[in-house]
Amino acid sequence: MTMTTLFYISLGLYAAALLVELAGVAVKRDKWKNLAWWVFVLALLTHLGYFVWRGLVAQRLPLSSQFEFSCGFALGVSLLLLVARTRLSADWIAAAGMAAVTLLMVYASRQKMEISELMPALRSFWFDFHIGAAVFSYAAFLVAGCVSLRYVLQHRKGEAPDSLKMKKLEYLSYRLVALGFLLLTAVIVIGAIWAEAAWSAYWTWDPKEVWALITWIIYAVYLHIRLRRQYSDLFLSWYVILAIPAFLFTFAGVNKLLPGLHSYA
Amino acid sequence: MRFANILLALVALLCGVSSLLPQGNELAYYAQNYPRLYPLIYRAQLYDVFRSWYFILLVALLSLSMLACTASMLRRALRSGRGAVEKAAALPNAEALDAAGLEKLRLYLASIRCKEEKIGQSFVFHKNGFGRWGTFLIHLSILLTIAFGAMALYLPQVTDRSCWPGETLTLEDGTQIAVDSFSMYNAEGQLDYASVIRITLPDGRSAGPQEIRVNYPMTFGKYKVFQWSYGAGGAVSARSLSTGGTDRFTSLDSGSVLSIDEKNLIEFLGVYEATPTDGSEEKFVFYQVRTVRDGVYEDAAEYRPGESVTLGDVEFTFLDPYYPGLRIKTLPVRAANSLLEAAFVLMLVGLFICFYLQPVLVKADEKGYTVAGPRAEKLRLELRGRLAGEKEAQT
Repeated sequence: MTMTTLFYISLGLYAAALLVELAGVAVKRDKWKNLAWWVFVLALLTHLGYFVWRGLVAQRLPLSSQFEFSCGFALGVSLLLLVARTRLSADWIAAAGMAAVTLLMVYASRQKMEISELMPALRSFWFDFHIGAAVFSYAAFLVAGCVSLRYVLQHRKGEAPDSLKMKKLEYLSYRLVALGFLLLTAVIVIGAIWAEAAWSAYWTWDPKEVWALITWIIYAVYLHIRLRRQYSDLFLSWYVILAIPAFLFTFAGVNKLLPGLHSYA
Repeated sequence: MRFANILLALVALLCGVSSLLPQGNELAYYAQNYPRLYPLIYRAQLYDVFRSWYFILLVALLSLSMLACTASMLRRALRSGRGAVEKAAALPNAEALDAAGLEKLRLYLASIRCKEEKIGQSFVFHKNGFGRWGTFLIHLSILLTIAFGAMALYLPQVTDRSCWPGETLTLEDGTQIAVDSFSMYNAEGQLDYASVIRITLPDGRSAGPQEIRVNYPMTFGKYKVFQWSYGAGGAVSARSLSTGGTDRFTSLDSGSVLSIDEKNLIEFLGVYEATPTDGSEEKFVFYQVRTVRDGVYEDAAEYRPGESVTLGDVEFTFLDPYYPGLRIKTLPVRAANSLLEAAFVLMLVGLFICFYLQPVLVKADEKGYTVAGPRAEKLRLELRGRLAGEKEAQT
């Protein structure tokens, strides 16, 4: 079996898990949802195996190209889903989470997959920390979006906003945004220190830097308005959902549309 | 806070606008590529948004707003710290509690390592008192980042210079940077630009030889020298066979001629990189030169670096044609970098404290309990779930 085959097996398993989950939701069968979850866990293990294999072949953290980053991003989301489901008993998160992971893997499969030698600028002590933090930051924002989506759907079903269930949902979304925000700050800070060593300046207003800052500001405003409780939980949930395009653009859009110092990624 | 949010949104908006248009080019570039939008680009300084007066004004206003915010947070943190436990003990109960509930609450709070104090008839459970400093530290660190960041970004002077191995650059103040060698591949055969340099300051102090590579600059005095780029050109050493005297000639252009007696000479045509057609070897470079021997023109010939040709009394040896481009950064205030990096660390510490070490302050008695403190949301939800029954806690 080749390494690429393992990637496609993982993608296939994620897609299968999603289909079974959706079928389970449609016919309201918990057995199907359980089966979907175990298929998802199998997909995650395969994915993890692929990631480790690729890392061993490349002899580095495999997060340097758009393919590798998308693959790592999907793995980050899967791991967070695993934590959410096992530690927080949030089984409802599966459908949206599986859809997000499958879409990310499909996106990854459309990128160049070959392992390339790291360019000199990327051979740095900071590489693993900068990119690793970015993977988990985006993953946390995406899972927060899934949680907020759940909040909005529950609200539409008539669930009282003051119920403990809804309060916990909104709080989980906030905690995930807080985790993502802390990690995004680390990404920016580590990136700045690295940029000074590599390019002689902490900040060059490169499109990737600018969009990372925009994403940071969007979530900083969320944290501010949430702290002050100026708006309802429903508004905050919509805010988190609508913020998703910002970090997705920072992740993929900038590389495709805005040439800059990060264009190699 | 609303004002700060508006300012933040405006900064984000301007950042977004700036990314739609390449920044920092000559005005002619915009006139040529965006003829319709050019008047707007010119008037609104959209060609260099981050140096425009309105962007600088926004950042200044944001800094002032944060300064005010930081001061009020400092006051609040100091005030809430004084006698916090005693104040909590005097709070009225927010939720009812029976004796069994109190025991359940006590057990839970002990499991999360809260300290318990009995004040009068009340019990106060508390931990993470320093957590109240989190938001203050975040805002302070952002302010420091803006201040030291501006110093680190705008005070240093940066110049790019190239220097052949074996030659020395002399800067305006007399500092000398000597390049001993330059290589493009490391021992594993990976592309990895590296120069070995020495720096000598005007007062005679010197440092090196030290290897600099991308990501690994050399700092000495007020200078930081980066491995920045590389170039290729003709470089030849000439040795007189009779006297043994040698000389080096670098940066040869196409058509450059080297001769001593005008009867024997080499004419430099170019230096090229090539890949063998049989695939037996990796890329290689070669010189193409025309030679004149005792006044007779010979066919153009190819030489690899390290090879020689003897013409009359002179032996010409072709040198490695690559030379490094160095970026030289002058740091007028060296401490700015360290201070900025300290502000970064403070920011991360502040965020960690704010999100993960929130202060816990719970007052309870036999009739009820209340969760005090500015950021007690998690605990409120947790206790509500634990004490109001598991059914409600299910999500």
